[in-house]
Amino acid sequence: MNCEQLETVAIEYVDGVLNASARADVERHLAVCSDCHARLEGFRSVSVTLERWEAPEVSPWFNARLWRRIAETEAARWHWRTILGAMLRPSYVAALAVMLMVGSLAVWQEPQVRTVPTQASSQTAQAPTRVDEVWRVARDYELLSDFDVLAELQKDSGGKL
Amino acid sequence: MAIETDAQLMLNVKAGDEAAFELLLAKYRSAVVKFIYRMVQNVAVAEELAQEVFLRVYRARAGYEPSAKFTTWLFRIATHIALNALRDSRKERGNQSLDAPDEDHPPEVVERHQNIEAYMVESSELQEIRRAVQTLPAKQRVAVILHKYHELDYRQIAESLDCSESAVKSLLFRAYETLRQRLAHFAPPSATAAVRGD
Repeated sequence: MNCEQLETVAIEYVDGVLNASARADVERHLAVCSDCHARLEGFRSVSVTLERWEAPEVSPWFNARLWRRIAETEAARWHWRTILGAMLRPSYVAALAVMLMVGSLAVWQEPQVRTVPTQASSQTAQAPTRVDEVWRVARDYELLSDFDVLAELQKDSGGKL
Repeated sequence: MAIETDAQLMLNVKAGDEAAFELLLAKYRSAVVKFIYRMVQNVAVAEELAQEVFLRVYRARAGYEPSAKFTTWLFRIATHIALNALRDSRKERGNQSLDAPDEDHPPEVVERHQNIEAYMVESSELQEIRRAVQTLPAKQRVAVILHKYHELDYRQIAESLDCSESAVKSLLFRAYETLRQRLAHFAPPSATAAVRGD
């Protein structure tokens, strides 16, 4: 055995878990290599030194706190399970499907209604259109975004306005 | 009454037996808190993270299968939580790192000491030991703590760290080599002589 080979079994040797044959190999090497001998003595010494380090005991309210947390998480899980369970009931799913079908039919038929020229539609043409409303909102936004007070507020609240 | 194995207790928890969970808690809460304390070196954080470990154990009860030893499974969860906490603390800017010593909570009990001088010497030595362990890379730290204080075998440590047994032996060798150099002055005279090659 050489020094490099000893490294692979050093911890097991110090732990005393090597078989007799491997242990004899290590001991033959240690008898002729003072560096490895010093290293393994050092490992034993480290092991003894580490025993001085005690860790604190658990606080007496550990269990009570844990059970409270368990109750909170279980309640939260039960809440979501109930909501999801209710949402996935066949009657709810069927109702949602009907609503989606009706909605998509309404959207599909909307342009055909608009193509019919009526007196009412000619009146609405003079009223503000949706495009006008969007432009007005955009202009308002540009104006408001230039206000210093708003910028300061945004900065104070970490940009969460 | 027959002594139930940890795996059987966990199966009872799975079946809705909360008293079985209390038994597991009583048996392992101290070990888990101490393991995490030695990893993060902060009492309050260690308790908080240990709570997280047992919360995960409880929440995982429905899918529990006794394929591995219960302690291996438990320390695997604890190791992951401790390593994540250390990683997150390094990422946080401006906050005190978990790697920094917990000066507010001296690790040992002062009342045991009859005089302040003895306490100061011991306290200083313990701080040196804590700092030496703290300077180890996180995985080496896990390996040393599980090996030294919890007597997990190499296979169990390997499962906790998601690595091979030979990797664990290598981690332990490197960790003990670093600690040997950092804690050389704690060595008894015979070992010091051996280190010097006398």
